[in-house]
Order: sequence, then C-alpha cells, then structure tokens
Amino acid sequence: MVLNDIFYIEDIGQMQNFAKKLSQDLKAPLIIFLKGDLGSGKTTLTRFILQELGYNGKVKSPTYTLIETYEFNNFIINHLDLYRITDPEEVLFLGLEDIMNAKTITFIEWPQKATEFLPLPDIIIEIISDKNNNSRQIKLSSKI
Amino acid sequence: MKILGIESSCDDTGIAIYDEQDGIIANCLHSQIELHNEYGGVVPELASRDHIRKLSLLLKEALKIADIDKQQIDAVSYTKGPGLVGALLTGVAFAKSFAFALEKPAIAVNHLEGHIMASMLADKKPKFPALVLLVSGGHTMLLQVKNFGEYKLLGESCDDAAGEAFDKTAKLLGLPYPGGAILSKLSEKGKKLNIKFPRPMIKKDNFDFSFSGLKTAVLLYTQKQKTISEQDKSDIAKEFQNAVVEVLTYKTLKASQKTGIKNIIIAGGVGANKQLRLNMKNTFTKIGGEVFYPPLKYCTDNAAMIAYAGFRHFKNNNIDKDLGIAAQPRWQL
Repeated sequence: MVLNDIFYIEDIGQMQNFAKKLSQDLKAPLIIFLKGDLGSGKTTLTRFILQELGYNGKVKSPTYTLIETYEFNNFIINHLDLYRITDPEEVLFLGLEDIMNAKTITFIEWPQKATEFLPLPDIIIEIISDKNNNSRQIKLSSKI
Repeated sequence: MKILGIESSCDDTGIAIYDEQDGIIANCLHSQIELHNEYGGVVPELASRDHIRKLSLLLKEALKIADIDKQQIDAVSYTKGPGLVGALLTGVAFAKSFAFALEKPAIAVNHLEGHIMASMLADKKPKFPALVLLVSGGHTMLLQVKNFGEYKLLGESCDDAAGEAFDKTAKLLGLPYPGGAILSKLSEKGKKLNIKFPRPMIKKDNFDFSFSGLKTAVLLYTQKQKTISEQDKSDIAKEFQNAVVEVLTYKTLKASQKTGIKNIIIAGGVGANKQLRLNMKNTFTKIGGEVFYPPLKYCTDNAAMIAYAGFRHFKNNNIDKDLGIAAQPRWQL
C-alpha cells in the first residue's frame, strides 16, 4: 500500500473496492486509527474489510459496547469505538493491553478521544464526506 | 428470601436487592445517588467505566436502604455477560467473593435475560409465551420467549442499535450526546417533513434490523439544507422517529403473525419511547394482542432486573457450582 495517499470514493461499490485493496495488505500485528464524522462510514468500511477477510456474520457498531472482537483462523480483529469516552482515563479500564498482541489487527474509531492512552498507529484512515453529494475522500497514511 | 443483584456490564454500576415478599427493596445505581464514603465526603463522578471504586460503596448503600444486615442475603446474583470483559470481571469477582464470604450461593445471570425479566417487576405482569422487542443503546433484537429460561432469537440489528441511531441522529442535529430522549421530545413539535427517510429492511423477509443507513440519510439531508431552524430540527426528529418506530412495529407484527404469539414485551431503554409504546399498543390491540413494559426505572441498565432474574434461577436451583471467576463477554441467550 502506498504511503500517504488520497482516494476518491463515489459510491458504496467503490468503498467496497477500497476495502478489498486495503485488506490484502493487512497482516497482524497492526493498529489502525479510523477518523471521520458521524455517518462518514467508519463502521461500514470496517465491515467491508471484515467481509473481505472472510467473516460472514453481522458486524455491529461498537459505539455502545466499545469493543467487538472477531476471530479468524490465525489472527483476531478488534473493532473499537471510543466515541462515548468522556474521560481519556476510561480507556485504561477497557484493558486494551490485554486485547492487543502479535496476532491482532485493531481498528480504533474516534482515537482522538483518548490519544494519550493509546499506542501509536501503523495506519491512519480519515474519511471525509462531501457536503454536496454522497461521495467520500479517504486519506490514508501508513508506515507499513 | 432476599437476593442481591450486581450489574457492571457496561457503563453503569448497580446493586439491588429483591425480596420474595416485598419485591425490590433497594435499587442503587452509581449515576442516580450520591455516594458517601466512610469519611463522609461525596464521591465525585469518576470515570464512568471504573466499576471497582463504586461497588463496595453501592453495597453499603443498598443494605442501608433495604435496612437489612448482609447475613440476611440468601444468594448473590451477578451479570456474567454479555458486555465489556473488564467491566464484567469486576462485578463477577466482587459477587463471587462476597457470596463466598457469606457462605451463600452465587448465581450467574445473562444481562439480556435481565432486561426481559425486568417486565416482571411491573404491576401488570406479562403473559408467556411472548415476543420480546429488546431495544436499547447497545441492542436491538426480537426474541421469542416460551417461558423463563427459554429464549429464541428471531432477529437483531446488523449494525447500529435503535438507541444508538437516536443518540447519533440527535448529535447530527446539534443536540448533546447522548440525546436520544431529547430528540424524541423535540419530535413532539414536529410537522410533516417534505421528504421521507428510508424504512430500512422493511422489505426484507426476516426479522433483522439496520439503522446505520437511516442515520446517514439524516446526515445527507441536513448537509443539503442551507440553514436549519428549530422547527426544521423538530420536523427531522419526527420523521426520523417515525421511521424507526414503523420498522420496529412492523417487524414485531410480522414475527407475531409468523409465531401466532400476541403477548408483546418491550424492554430496554428505547422501550421508554412514547411513540413506540403508542404505536405498538395500537397495532397489537387491533389484533387482540397485549403489550407489556418494565417500569420506566428498570428499562435502562440496572441491578434490580439482575436480582430478580437471579431469584428465578435460585428457585430452579440454578446456582454456580464452582468458585471460578469468569465473565462471558459474548454470551448469547
């Protein structure tokens, strides 16, 4: 995957293609930050990536549960959403150090809610929705 | 007989006591009462997911309110799952240790079963078999309940829970988060909107729900408007709420037609929504059905429902057989 790139997404099909391309480069261990406003498609993108990796079940929003975990044959995907965190210290009570290891790929939505308590990301994905139509810009910066 | 219930599956820490004769005799939630520690000071609102610092204070408070000694407790029930593993473990460890010290049994309760059983704490108790629409910030599911302990999942949300959709849509309209309840209030002043938001999954021949796209539909609509007045907000809130309520009611009705069950229980925080209650009541009264709800204070997460469900398990002699401390974060009903 190219370092620091911008992708223009016109519709849901292109979002799916983006997920397909990205998922080919995902190898544990990884920490991925997902940024973007409410309704920009962070959970949708994560769902497409999970599906590309072969997961067939439901991918529910982790906004309320904070963490959803998906087990694959030789790796685990953690899907976190810190939107409801009011005090960054709350992240300490989630036991993140226990769920991230050499076998995990961790997606973190709304990382800016608790940056000081999070490990550094390998990839940052920022989704920006266009005010005039239903298109998206995805900014990708990665060090892998 | 008195059963202590402990809830710590997500944000709220709660301890309650259920008495076989008198019902709930103490119901303490950290968010509702001021906790006074042994030094007489008020414990400030701590990080909301820090259950460990609250449990022993809540226990003292609950015993005081119930006016009983801890030795009078016959069993300790606790939420074993589903929920956040760290949060659950705090409650599990506390409950099992306390039960061990008292030499009384501990009882594992499923949080979702707790929500269903909360309806038994109402004056008008539900009849079984029943269909349960469990709608909250974290869950949207339709269940068939034959009797206590016999549950079958008919359908659930594929993405956002109904309560989550309310809270996020409220935020899109510039209301504070979580603002689902404020959004409902706002909708009362709403008039007809010039567009109709989608009724997601209404045409799909199953009992699953999806509310993520509805939220995005509101986002796109608000982005297209040059300005949004207070009246516009009310109109959007009304149309949004109508969309959610219509889908929930329609799917429950379909499940009722398929199963032949006409006793309906609406549980969970969104179960407090007036429009939903009204719509469900109208729909099911028409076909000779009946709608039941938990008391309002037991709709959202609480320990009273865990104490009551624990009582039912205790009656069935369904108690923990070991001293192990284990949570089950993904415990299905």
